[in-house]
Amino acid sequence: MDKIKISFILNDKPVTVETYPNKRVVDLLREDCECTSVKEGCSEGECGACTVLVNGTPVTSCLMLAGQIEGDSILTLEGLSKDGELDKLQTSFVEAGAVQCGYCTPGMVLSAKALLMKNPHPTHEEIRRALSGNLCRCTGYTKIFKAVDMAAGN
Amino acid sequence: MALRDLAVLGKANVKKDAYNKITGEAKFAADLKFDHMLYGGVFRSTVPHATIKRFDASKALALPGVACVLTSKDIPGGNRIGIILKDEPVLVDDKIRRVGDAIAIVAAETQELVEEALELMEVEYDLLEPILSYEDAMREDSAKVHGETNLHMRKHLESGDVDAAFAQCDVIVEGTYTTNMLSHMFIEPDAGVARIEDGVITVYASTQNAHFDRGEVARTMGLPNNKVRVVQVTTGGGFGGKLDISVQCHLALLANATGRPVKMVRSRKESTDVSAKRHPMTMKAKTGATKDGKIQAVEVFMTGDTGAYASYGPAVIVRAVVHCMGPYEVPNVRVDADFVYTNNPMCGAFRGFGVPQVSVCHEGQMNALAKALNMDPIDLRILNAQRPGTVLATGQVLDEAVGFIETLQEAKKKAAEVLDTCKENQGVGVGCMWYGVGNTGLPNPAAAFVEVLPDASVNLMVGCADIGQGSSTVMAAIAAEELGLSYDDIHVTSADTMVTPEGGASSASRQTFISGNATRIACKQAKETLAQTAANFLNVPKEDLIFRNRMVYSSKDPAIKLTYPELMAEMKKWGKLAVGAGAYNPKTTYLDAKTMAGIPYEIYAYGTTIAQVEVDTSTGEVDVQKLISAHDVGQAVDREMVEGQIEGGMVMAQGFAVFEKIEHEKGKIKNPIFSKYLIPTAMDVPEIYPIIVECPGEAGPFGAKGVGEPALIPGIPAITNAVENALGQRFFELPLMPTEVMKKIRG
Ligand code: FES
Ligand code: FES
Repeated sequence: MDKIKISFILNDKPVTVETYPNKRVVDLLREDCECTSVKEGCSEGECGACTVLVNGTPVTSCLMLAGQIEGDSILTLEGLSKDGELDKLQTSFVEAGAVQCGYCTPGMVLSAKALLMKNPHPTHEEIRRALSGNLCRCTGYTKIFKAVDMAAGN
Repeated sequence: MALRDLAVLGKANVKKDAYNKITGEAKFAADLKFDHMLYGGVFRSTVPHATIKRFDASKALALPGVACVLTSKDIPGGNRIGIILKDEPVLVDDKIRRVGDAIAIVAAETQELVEEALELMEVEYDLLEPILSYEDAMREDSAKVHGETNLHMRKHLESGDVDAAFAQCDVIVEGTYTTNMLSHMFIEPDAGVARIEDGVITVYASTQNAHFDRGEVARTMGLPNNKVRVVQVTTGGGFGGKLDISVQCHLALLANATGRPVKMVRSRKESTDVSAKRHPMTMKAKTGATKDGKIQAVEVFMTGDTGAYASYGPAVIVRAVVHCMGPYEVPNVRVDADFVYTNNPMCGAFRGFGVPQVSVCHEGQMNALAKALNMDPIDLRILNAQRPGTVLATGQVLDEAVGFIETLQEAKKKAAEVLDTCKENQGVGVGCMWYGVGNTGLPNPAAAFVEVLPDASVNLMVGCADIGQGSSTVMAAIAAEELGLSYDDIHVTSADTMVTPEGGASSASRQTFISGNATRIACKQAKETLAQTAANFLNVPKEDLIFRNRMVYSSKDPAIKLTYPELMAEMKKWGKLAVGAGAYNPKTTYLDAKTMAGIPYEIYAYGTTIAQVEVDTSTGEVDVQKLISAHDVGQAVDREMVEGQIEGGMVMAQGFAVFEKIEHEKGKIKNPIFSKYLIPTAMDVPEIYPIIVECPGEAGPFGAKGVGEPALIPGIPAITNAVENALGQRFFELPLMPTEVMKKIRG
């Protein structure tokens, strides 16, 4: 298979990468774009650790191929803070004590971000639903819910 | 005990690792990259018990980009590893004992080439009879997994006169309880990188015990300990599953053979297939009491399957035996336990070391006893609860730091506040636990180094691995409290064998207690010099000095004081350095070989959970709705982190009680991935009410105990008992799968 050029927006900056069209987006971001916040926990779309936002929608990047993101806008955790200033969700995760081992955190924060972009004041049920694709084995989710509530000003 | 006047402890501090993790900067093992790095992989057995007739890697070696393939013959040092018994080969030599045994390892230029090379390797087996159950293992004529017998370990505990006591009892309840094999399912699969630098093999690994790993790598490589450096990188959860060697020795072998850095990242399937599992156990129990509810005797016989290798099995069996009568005063106790080797997946440490399993048994028994006596289950527990002065079955007399009754009372109080009146098919259940902190009747020291720097900031070096539970945060708070500085003044370096002293395992809920005490001792030593200098300067006896909030002042007259920066300037003037090295080993004794009498642990943590559930009688599904969990943690070092442990533990308890189970057949795990092994998601989480009870005592740092495992345990029997309460039926096997629940409902 030949390499192709893929252009997309990564964390607000246009990038062009030469790669194989069947490379998984999780590998593309981690290996070619230095975005190692994108984690891999299962490689089958079940754990959500590899979640990134594609045009504002959370997707599991382990199930997506490089060829599919041409022209898209991708957000990873690296792009969430602006000019060194943490996003409200990031500070609330820290304040609420929602981070333990931190492996689920990047995906969790991005799923929450997608929710708040669409729905700035979600109900408890909506928060649960939005995070239901992101597994966390450490926290019992409770402080994660609290963090999202805090960020939403609920 | 009077409330302690603490400046730092008991508040919520920002976790030391929080910012790195929330920005994505934290580097986990799989995120590391070095120049000229190779990738590694393992060729594993697909059969449970066999010898190798032929192994051929020539096709793999002929593949361009493959750097090397190594087998047992290429190991420069010893070929046996293991936490307690050295019974597991780094690479198979004599025979295969389980599905997933490592036969060969490969290094190649890319991960894809690694996969391709593994595909090209060929093996032929001479199959042996697989041993797949306790009964199989104990048959006299069965094949032996190791040596002469499959009995891995047999334990006996005896105190009082059990038979005479049962003869006097008014009520006796019996039950046989079974728990299944479980998987940790930490979200980060095992990973690491090794490289050679200045004649030292450095292994960066996702691990719970860097210092243990160092010893294993050094022995495998035939190197002195100081020629191996193990660095614990940010670790994505462990729960006991990252205590065994995973990639460390294989990486060292490959880096050594190629002279290049090598990275290995396990797939989810590989990680689940070969990391240790929770021991499945069967516990047959008999409990006798007087008619007013005082327990007189407990007898338990338990069996467990440790799988192909011992791992932490010896620790699990001993701890299970010591804890199986529950947190109660029981004057007459007899426990017998058999663990066997089989060709099943290896079982080892998993949050609680057997205590979660036995809690299902002792709390099932308490429930049955309450019913038989027509007593309130909480009153029955309070009546029999361990308390200061209780004599344990091991003969140990408990000191004043026993907060069990308080956990029962606090949980009960909260239940009255927040639980709903039970409707049909709703139920409430109680579950309790005790947990000895640290290893059982064995030395398990930890150490710490500290230096107060000229600007009054501090470098603290501890061996204990922070795997997300927050031990570095705990150590910083303890150091700040002892030195009289602020939490932010303390920088913690942890679990790097070239920099930090021995910390032992981040397991057995031991780090807050043991590394915490070591940290405190190191700080006291540094403080000695600081106090002498301050005393000279202020012209007061050094015993009168108080270090607090970045000040040093006289307890007699707080106006006689100096600030920490002033003190450090004074230290500089006199050529003094504020350094300390501390080590702590819990005050325990070895247990008697015949009766297990002795002092297994210096301190015990206690907990009570009250659960409310609703059972869907058309599907058998159990909806866990509310969990109140009260824990005696001695002294909370950081309240928010304690709550976080309780919440995480409770949700894991829910998985344990209701739906988690490793399915295996002929030694092979059938559900090693998240789509088949379900763990609780955000949709499943009940309302959780964590309650912190503080009953400090003198042993722990500022009275702190430990909560990592206690946070899980009582939730399991509480949920089970709540389901029994909802349906009026007893359950003897976990998890409470809908099919099993339906069977009971239908009768
Ligand atoms: S790694 Fe993509 S969902 Fe788990
Ligand atoms: S914090 Fe460890 S998996 Fe979520």
